[in-house]
Amino acid sequence: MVRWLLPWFLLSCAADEGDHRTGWLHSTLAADNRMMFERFPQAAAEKLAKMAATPFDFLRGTAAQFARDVLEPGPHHVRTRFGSAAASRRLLLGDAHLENVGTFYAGRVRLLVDFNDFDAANFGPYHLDVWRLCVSIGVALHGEAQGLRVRWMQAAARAYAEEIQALAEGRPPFLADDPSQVVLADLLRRALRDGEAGTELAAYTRVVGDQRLPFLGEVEPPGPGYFEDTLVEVSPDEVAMIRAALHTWPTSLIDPRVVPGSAARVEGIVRRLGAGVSSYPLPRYYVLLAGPTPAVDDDLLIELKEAADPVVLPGIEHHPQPRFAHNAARVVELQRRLQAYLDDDPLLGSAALGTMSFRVRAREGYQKNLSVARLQEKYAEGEWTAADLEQAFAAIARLLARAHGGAVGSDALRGAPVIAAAIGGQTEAFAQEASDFALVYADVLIDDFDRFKTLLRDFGPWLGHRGP
Amino acid sequence: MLHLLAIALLQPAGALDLVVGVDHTTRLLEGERASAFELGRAEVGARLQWDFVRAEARFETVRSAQPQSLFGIDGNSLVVRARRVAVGVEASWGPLEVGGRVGLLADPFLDRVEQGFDLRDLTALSAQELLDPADLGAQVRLDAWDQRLGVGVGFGNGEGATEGERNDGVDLTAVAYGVPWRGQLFDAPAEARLVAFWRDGSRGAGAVQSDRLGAAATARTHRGSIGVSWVQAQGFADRAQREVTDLAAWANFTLLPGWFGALGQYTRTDLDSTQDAIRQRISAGLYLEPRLSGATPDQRLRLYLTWSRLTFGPDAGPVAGVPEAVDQDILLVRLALAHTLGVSP
Repeated sequence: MVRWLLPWFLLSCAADEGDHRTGWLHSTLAADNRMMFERFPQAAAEKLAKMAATPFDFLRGTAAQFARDVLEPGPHHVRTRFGSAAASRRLLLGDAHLENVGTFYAGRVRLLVDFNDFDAANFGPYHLDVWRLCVSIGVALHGEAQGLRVRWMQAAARAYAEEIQALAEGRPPFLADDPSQVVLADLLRRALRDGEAGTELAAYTRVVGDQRLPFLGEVEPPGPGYFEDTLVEVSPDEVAMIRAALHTWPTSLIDPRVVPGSAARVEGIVRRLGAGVSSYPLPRYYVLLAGPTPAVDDDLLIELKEAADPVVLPGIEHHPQPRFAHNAARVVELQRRLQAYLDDDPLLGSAALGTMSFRVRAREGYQKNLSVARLQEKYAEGEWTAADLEQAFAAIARLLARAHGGAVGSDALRGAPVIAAAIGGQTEAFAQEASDFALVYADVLIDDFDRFKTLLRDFGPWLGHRGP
Repeated sequence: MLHLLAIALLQPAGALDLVVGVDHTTRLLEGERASAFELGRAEVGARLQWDFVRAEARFETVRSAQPQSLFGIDGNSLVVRARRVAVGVEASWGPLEVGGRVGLLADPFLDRVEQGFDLRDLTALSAQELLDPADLGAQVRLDAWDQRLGVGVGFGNGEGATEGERNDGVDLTAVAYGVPWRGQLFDAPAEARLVAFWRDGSRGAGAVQSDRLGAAATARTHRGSIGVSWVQAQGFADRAQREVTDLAAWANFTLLPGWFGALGQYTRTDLDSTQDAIRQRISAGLYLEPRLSGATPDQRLRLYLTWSRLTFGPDAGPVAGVPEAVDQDILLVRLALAHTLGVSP
């Protein structure tokens, strides 16, 4: 409308604006990754290369684009009929998707499935998580028939609504530890196997003589332009930083007694490359701690990952704004509020040094991630049926409901009654709304994936970002 | 002491400006209520005039953390940043006056409209949401008959005061302005102003379209001001296809000079022409304005007491379909001091 007023010679001053969606994607990805580009340019380029690997990896790296699309006026700013002011102040995972689900050996007594990535945990409208989870189902199985994808998405949203209603009525929360559920049982079985065998210790450390030392090298071969699982040496400065930060870790534990006194003895520190997608460039260290006995079998492996700001939810304000001592404290505090048990991971805590803060967690075989690649493979092979997947997605959605329903929002209210009131018993309509959105948005995301690969090709590994 | 400092810094002629606003804000939302003391505004500027050379540097405080970020610099400290830094030249021939300047320059439209806006120490113009207050670049202007008529052209990088260059595009802005009436009102000088502009621009690494068109009419006396402004954006928040329209009206009047006045403001922003995304803000208030000995119109102390009602259309707020999540009342008490200290050679 403005443009027609301008003579052609003035128009020539403007850059080529090209396709609107591509321009938006380009600008927002460059802005969101700016800190990474400037702090860790090589790792940031690897992150973008990893995002270009599969549509699901791209989904994992674009939580901020999803938040913008849903929360800012535009074509995907879709009204919900199941919202309220209070339902907009819930505690969220912030990035609920299939690969943020994994196993925990809670309190060393109960192996269960729970959400496991809370980097983006924040306060906002609950349906953001539900829709994101449904989109992730749509992207993970994008090649399947539309009717089937709708069925899976609706099963998830329906289960979410039912679980919220059950929680609001005071029924006990859902725990995903049922071995009869094919997909999640497979995850539990492999976690038990690897946990008992100590596979993580075996993969990331080596016993030399009577001492266990961190392994250096490739645990998994790299992908095209990015690492998958490689351990490298750390500098003396990094060692000093990690050792100093670790002093603050015991006080952040839910029960400091779980860490034996001898654990103060650090046996080795290495840097892990290749983990995650969204947080790929952030420093992630594996620290080997001496166990309670001189034997090498009880040594502990923990992970320290730098905690960054959560994904920005545009327009979402809280009065007053919840505050935390640092980002790792936010992640840990909100993880405990959102998980089934406070000690899903007894070693969960934070370590801070100056402006740096790290989320600390156990690195053990009992913690195993749901893999979309495995899910696709098993389904393609016919080992897992559509009904099995439906059952798994419903269970994961129930976990989400349990997390939302049991957590206190920024308004100090518990989630379940508030969300149940917003849904108002209209379970089918709620499921329909979620799948309507997710079906369309999954297609948008698949198209964005192609746009993104074109941007990488045209503008290079940093998307044309200009440094300071 | 301040005079001595100013003379040392600003020889041979210039001015020091100081604007300070200290607030207590109460926000009332459905299910939420929060009160806070804030430093609503702190700005200091210096202007230098030396023969045909003009220079300006203005600094303001901002919170250092980005939205929803937990931390900025040393927590979330108030930090000082450049608001405008410019150097330029001016010359005149008969009724004509020409000028040019380079640096971090004030938006030429906002700059002109603010000259007819008497509530700068209370609030920014709503059009500022669509226009960066300053941009890095260059501007030239041509005025005639004591600025009764004028035109200007500006080139900028389009990223505002908060970003460096992010694409190869150059923003081009043209502005035209005039003073259709200048006279006396309430025994004091008064004038009415008109200003219009358009801009062809781009923003961000993706060079997303960021065009603007706008106009405003203002009138101001030493007793108060009245005005309307309209700005339309084609391309906003990195979305080239997004069309946003901001319409604002304001009035304030000192009812009893040296004692108190009243104010009202109304803003209607259509955040997306393709949706029902109207956001409206209506404000009303009073201000106490004690008479300070020796004060000029540029030197004043005001205590503002205002109430604002912010309402959102179904698609205007972050949660589409749930405007009640962000509809709110805002009660503001602000103690504002504005002082300009002129220095002669």
